[in-house]
Amino acid sequence: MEGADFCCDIKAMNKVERERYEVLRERLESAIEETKELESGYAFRLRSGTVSLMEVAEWVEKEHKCCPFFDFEIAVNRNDGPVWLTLRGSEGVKPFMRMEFGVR
Amino acid sequence: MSKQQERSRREVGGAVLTVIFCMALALGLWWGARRMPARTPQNQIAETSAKQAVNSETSFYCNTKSLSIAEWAHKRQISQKMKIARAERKELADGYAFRFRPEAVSLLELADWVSSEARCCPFFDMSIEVEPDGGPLWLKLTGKEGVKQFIRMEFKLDQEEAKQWRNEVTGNEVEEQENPANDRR
Repeated sequence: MEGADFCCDIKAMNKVERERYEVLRERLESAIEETKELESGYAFRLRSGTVSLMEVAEWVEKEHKCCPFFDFEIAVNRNDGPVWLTLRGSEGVKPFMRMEFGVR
Repeated sequence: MSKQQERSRREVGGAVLTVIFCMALALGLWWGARRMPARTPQNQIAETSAKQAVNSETSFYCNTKSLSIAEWAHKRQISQKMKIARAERKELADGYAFRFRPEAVSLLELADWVSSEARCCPFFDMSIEVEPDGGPLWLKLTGKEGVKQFIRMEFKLDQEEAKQWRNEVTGNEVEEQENPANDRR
């Protein structure tokens, strides 16, 4: 099965954290302006003003607790440029992401 | 008119002129003092800012006024934590990468620092990487040509290298004097 090696521990977050995670995830998803497919993952360009850097970091922190196999990168481009969020991983992470995050 | 009256008139005229001159001088000094701001912490920051503007020969200009005093204090606290948490520094073609121990500084603290830094010095490209399975955190600071010199100067990397070299040579940990300027502003 695709993505079978990627196990997320949903118990890593308590109910309150999970609720906050869902709010952040929704905000992140609504801020995605562009998706780039990479060799070992995906990069998302986020619309500035829709989601703050701190919110992105908070989401990454929670996601990392739950799914520690991701390699995350938050990039802030100069002169108020866009924020990019990149998720990478070992082989098979892309199908997992497609399944988990509905990446197209 | 007698000579005595003439002399007395001249003396009175001279005295009036002296009084007018003194009043004008006093008024000028008062006006100047009013226009000159008191030496408050805010003004000290503004002065530093002006110095930095002069230092921006490389066209890297940091606007220190973009953060309030409270925000500076907060940033300085995080900078101190980052300094302690820093485990490695890598030189890149267009900047530097710093590795941090995740148990000593959190991702949110790094993001907080980056957020402030982006407001103050918008010419940096910055990225935070979270390695899998509780691995280290990396902060990359890159930019256009000349940014490496700027980073070395602003973050006092050369001083750190010198200190490290001294420690290696002497085998002792040289106590570093606490210098508020270490936090740049």
